[in-house]
Amino acid sequence: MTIRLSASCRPERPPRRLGVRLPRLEWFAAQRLEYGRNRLVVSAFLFAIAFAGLGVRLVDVTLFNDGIRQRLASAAGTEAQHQRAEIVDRNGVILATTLPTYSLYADATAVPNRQAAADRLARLIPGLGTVEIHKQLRTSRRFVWLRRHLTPRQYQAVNALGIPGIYVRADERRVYPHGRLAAHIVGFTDVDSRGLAGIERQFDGLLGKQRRAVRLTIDIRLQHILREEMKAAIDRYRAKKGSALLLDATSGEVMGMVSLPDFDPNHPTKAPTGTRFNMNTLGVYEMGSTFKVLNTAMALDAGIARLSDRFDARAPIRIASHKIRDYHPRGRWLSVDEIFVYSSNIGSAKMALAAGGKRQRAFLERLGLLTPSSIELPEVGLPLKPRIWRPINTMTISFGHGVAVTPVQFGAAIAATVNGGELHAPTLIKRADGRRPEAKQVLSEEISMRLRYLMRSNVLRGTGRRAAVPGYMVGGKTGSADKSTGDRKGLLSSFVGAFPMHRPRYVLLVLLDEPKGNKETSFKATGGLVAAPTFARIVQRAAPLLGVHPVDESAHDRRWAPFKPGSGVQRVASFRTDGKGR
Amino acid sequence: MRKTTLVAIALIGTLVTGLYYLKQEVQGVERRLAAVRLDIARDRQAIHVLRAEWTYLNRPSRLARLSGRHLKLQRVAPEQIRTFDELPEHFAPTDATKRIERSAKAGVSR
Repeated sequence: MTIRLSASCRPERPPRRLGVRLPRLEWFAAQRLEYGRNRLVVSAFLFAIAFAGLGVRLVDVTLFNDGIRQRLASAAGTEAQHQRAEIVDRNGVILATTLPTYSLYADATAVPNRQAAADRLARLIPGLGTVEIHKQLRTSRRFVWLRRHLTPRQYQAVNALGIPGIYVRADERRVYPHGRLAAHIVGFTDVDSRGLAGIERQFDGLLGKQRRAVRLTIDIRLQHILREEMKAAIDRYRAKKGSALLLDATSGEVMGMVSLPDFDPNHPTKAPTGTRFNMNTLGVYEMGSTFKVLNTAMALDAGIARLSDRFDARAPIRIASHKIRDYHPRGRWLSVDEIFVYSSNIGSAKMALAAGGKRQRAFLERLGLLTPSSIELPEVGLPLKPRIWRPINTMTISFGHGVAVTPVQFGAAIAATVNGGELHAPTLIKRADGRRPEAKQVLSEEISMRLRYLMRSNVLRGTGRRAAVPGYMVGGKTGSADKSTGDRKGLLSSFVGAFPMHRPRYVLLVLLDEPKGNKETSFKATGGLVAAPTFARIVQRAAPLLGVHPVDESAHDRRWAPFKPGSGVQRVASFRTDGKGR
Repeated sequence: MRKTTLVAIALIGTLVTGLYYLKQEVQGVERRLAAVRLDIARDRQAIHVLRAEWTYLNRPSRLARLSGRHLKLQRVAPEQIRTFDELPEHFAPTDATKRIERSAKAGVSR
């Protein structure tokens, strides 16, 4: 069957149909009917499809599809809007959070009387001048910020004014409830909640994406203790700056660290210059005598000396234009343990020379002191080291001059010397329970044991006596680095130590920059006189919080040999952290 | 034919009314749901803000100030911390109690 679509191509003769030849007129009528029928069939078919579609959709919507309801619900705004993740301390205490606020903006083209509007707004919002507002409104832009983060009262007042073209919109703002306490660690953001410093910057992407809080290793209570004691010490000794770092020696977790002066991260732009500087991770310092812990470790590790071996410390060493002297000269040959406890520069230099610069450099490298620390902060200082490692460098480095390191990497190295020789990279991020960060064995347990003995002896009978806290088995080393340049004189006084020394769990490093002595310290400001007592105060307050149980020290110290020059070697061997010697 | 028409009309009428009430009900429930969801969101936000405020009020420095003002507490001295084993079983002075006393005195005079 053919359907003729136009009359112009009509055939000459009507076609034969069913064997009957129809007359011309009837044939035309039949053709028209056929057209009509075809049209009906086609349109009915289309309608059927359309209705079938509707039917399917109806069943789909009523029976199977509940997604639409969720979409409706979320369109109603019941889902919580996404906010930047919180930062919390090791116990879940909030260090940084995001709070809803309101921000004031204007459609400058819609404000009828700009001068009047500026006047009225300026009266409501302190710190925002009429001239300033008027200048913004004159720009004739459709969108200008007038003030970010209004207080709730200001928000009410602005709304009540009802000036056309002046609007308020929901905004959010980063808030640090603990203010200065963890400012250098947590860092801060700009008005648009973009991380500019500290953890906020290091984990900017993650904080913006994920909902779960970022958990740090620090404890806000320890931060408070560290800050309060350091502030007191800085005031007492009129120091320029100061820092304290508390590390978990068994995992490398930073339990707390403060750097003073500090700033309020809620108002970072108002921070005075220099206060944003994190001494613990960004500052590099020549540590002074505390470096002798590492020098002794290096000598023992290299196998060039035992504790009983002696070095000639009778006379100062003259090299180039330098003169290496002792502060408490003994004028005789000193054994390795005496060199440590009496803090002899001459002896240390001789020990380092005996080991050689190459070994010294390799050793410091192994302890991670010549490369930047991997701690999770953007503010990490680059250690300073001599370009060419001459014998003079080897000698001065032995007592902590010539290599400048950050306190945080130094603390980690000291932790390795007391914890049985494991170097843990210092970290600020709390790992999921049971997961321990990888450690590197950098020293033998034997050597670590000897260093514990030396550090304990230094507190019992050496320069570190003022760091002692009865019951907590403190051990450590004092340091007073000479930072004199030209006519300016000053010391970097420090104490680095661990407790409890029979099973070291925590390492604490206290630094005071340019302290001045007072009557109590006979007007001297060495590490043993200013940093050691500060160390003791911190330990006394922090130890109960850390769950360190006080012990009968004399019972434990009997295991050590009473310090007798050069005799420690045999007696100390009964003292081990792995319990084998018990 | 008439009958079926009437039945059909009645049926349609019932269904339409039923559907109308059902829809009405569903709309009401949905409105309530939306309101409850909004309440939840508001409460969540309020909890969030209150938690921040709670943290702010629990600043260690503030707690120290308040405890200094209202409580007569002193710092714990190491001598005050003892293990159960060190506690005497009887009140007759044993070696352990003597030791504790001695160290307590040492602590006081220190």
